[in-house]
Amino acid sequence: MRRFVLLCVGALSVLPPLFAHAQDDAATLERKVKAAFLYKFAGYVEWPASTFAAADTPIVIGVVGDDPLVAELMEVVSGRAIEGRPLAVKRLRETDALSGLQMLFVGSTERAPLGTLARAMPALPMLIVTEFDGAFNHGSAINFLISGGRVRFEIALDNAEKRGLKLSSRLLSVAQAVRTGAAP
Amino acid sequence: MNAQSNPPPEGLLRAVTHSVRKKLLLVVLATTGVALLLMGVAMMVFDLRTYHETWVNDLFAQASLIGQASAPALEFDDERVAKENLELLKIRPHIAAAAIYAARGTLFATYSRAGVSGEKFPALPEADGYRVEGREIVVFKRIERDNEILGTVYFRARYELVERLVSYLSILAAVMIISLVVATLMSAWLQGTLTGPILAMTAVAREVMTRRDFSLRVKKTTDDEIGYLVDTFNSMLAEIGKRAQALEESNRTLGHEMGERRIAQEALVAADRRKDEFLATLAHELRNPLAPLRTALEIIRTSAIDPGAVQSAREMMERQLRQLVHLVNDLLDVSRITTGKMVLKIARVDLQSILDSAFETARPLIEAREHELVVHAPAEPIYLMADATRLAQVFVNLLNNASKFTDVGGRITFDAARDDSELVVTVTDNGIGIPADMLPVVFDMFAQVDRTLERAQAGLGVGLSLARHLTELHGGTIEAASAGLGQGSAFTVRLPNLADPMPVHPAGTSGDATTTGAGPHRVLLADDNVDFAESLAMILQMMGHEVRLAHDGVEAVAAAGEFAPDFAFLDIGLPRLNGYELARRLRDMPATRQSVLVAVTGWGQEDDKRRAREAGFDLHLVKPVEPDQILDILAAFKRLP
Repeated sequence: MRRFVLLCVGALSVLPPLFAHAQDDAATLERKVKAAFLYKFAGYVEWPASTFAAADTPIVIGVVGDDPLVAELMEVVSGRAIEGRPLAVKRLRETDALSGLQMLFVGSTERAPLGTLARAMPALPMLIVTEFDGAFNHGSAINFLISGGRVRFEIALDNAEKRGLKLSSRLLSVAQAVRTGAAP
Repeated sequence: MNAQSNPPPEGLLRAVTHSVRKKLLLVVLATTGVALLLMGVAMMVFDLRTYHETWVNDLFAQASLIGQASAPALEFDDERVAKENLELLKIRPHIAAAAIYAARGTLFATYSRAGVSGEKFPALPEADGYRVEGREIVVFKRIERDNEILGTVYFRARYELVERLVSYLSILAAVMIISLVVATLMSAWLQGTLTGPILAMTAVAREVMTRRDFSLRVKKTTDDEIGYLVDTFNSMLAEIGKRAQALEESNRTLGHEMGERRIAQEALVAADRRKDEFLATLAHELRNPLAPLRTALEIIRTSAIDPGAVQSAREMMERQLRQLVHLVNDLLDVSRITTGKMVLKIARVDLQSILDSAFETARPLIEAREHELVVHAPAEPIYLMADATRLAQVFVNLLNNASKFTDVGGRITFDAARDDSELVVTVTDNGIGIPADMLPVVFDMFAQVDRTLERAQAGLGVGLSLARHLTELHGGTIEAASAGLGQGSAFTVRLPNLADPMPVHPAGTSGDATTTGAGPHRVLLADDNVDFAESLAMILQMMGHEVRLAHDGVEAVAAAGEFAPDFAFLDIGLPRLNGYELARRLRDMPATRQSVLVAVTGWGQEDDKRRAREAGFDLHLVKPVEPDQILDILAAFKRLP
């Protein structure tokens, strides 16, 4: 019982509170939730076998256009692993190369997210997560949105498949919407 | 409720231990009951444990599935999905309520089967595990992912162990009741085949012991070992019965034999006493005539010149002598009868001649006692196949008996009549009669109604016995009847052997021969009894025959060769040369080849006669030989040269 309580305390320290507290401002909370989600998405994605060189090759998450989130995410992933793989966070500039990444978050603070997305080669096995409407038309696989005051997300399965990624059906079950076919 | 209505446990125990039937029943019921109970309990424990494990595992599996499915919902904070997952539990009616807790321990999603909002959920989740709360089970299952606790699934489900236990116990009870009933029935059936014959055997054994009836048998109903036992028991009974019967039989035979022996012994004692009495009587009777004889001789010697006195004395001597001869003849007859040597010379005879002879012999005594003799005889002649001399003797004995036991001046009736094919002769008197108790023994040898020796005419007591034996030898019967003492008596003789009235032999009867005599013959008499031979020779010589005597065999051969007799009467028991050998010699000699050879022996059996014939004898006479018999022979063969 003591152990369980300790674990609960541990979990509280790791996970951001889902409901806002009076002293937290909304933007910080949203960033925290999104950072946690980003980390959790990695557990539901199956990359092609050739993506990783070794069993303990880290999963690298690249973040473009949201520096505060990078700090938040780094805090989340530190000391954690998914199926034995550690996670690494990389802050990118608009002009940085997009190779060597397994996940890419393009923040909406980026002035030209479309440009970055355009540079992301369609052949790269990379999960692209965005946070603006119409992102699926630009190759995004998961797009954050706010619904009922909560952070939710939608999935474009076709965009993920184009890059050789498989998304777990369990992830699909909690998505706000899932696009499977061609863009409307 | 008194003490008697409740038998003490010891009584029940004794009843069980003292009856094979109840023992078997106990064994069957105990075995069945214990086996069923053990098996039922074992199965129940096994089943309840299996149920428990299965149910717990099943709930954990369900919880895991729900947890796995709800992991994304927890991770991405989607209560709706978690609730949808919980709603799937509707297909499991045993699960009453469920909930998912978030990692922080707050309720994330809930489900209640009844749909009631009042459902109480634990405020905080617990570690993995289950807890039974009465008829419900509570399960907590953590949702983990990459060693990170995402949340906890909570189930509250029905736990039907008690219901199962109750069902199980009722099934066990039903099975046990049915099984015990079946076992009881089976045991009852077994009694028919197993204990039934044994009980029957016990009953029969008890019956045999109480009634001593070994003819009882046990009925065999089976062909197994018990059947064999029954067979063995039955054959043992048969064997015992047979032995008991044999023992009883032998006891009865023994008792019978002892009775017979006692009777025989009594008879022997009685016979012995009779014989003693007879000897006393005999001595008395033999001595009686001697005194008058001596007196007569004295008279003859002293009064030789007085012809009247001499004549009187001689007549007295003849009477006494006749009495003596009669006595001795009776004795010899008795001896012949008792030794089985009495032989009848059966011939066709005229009843009248026999009666004449009998009356002639009996008349002196009748006249002496001044009795009146009345004779009724048939007018037509009656012929019999009989021994004339012996038959006459029967009638004489009866007449003498009547004379003796009738007071002087009595009346004697002699009736002879033909009754169909029988001749019936009845001699009746008005004498002293016979007591009823003496009637059966009156014909016994030496029997005398009056045992006193003083009675003058008592005699030897052999007359009636002889009469009976002689009658029976003729195939007839004799019986005595009397109304009692002083009422007189009647003796009846029945003779069946009547002959044709026509005479077969034209030759003259023996009576002719004796009366007319025969022409002179040369006769050789060979006998070592000198007196007998000489007295006989005297008689023959008086009748005109020429007689030569010989007293032994050799002498006889010599005499015969020289004398050439017409007749030779040869004693078989001669000294020096016996009669048979003598006859053979005579047959070889020319002088006697044609002679008539007559054997004179003490033995009258057929075998003796055959031996005599083979030796060459023509005729055979049994001692004592009467002069009349010799005269008869001489007359019969008078035609020979």
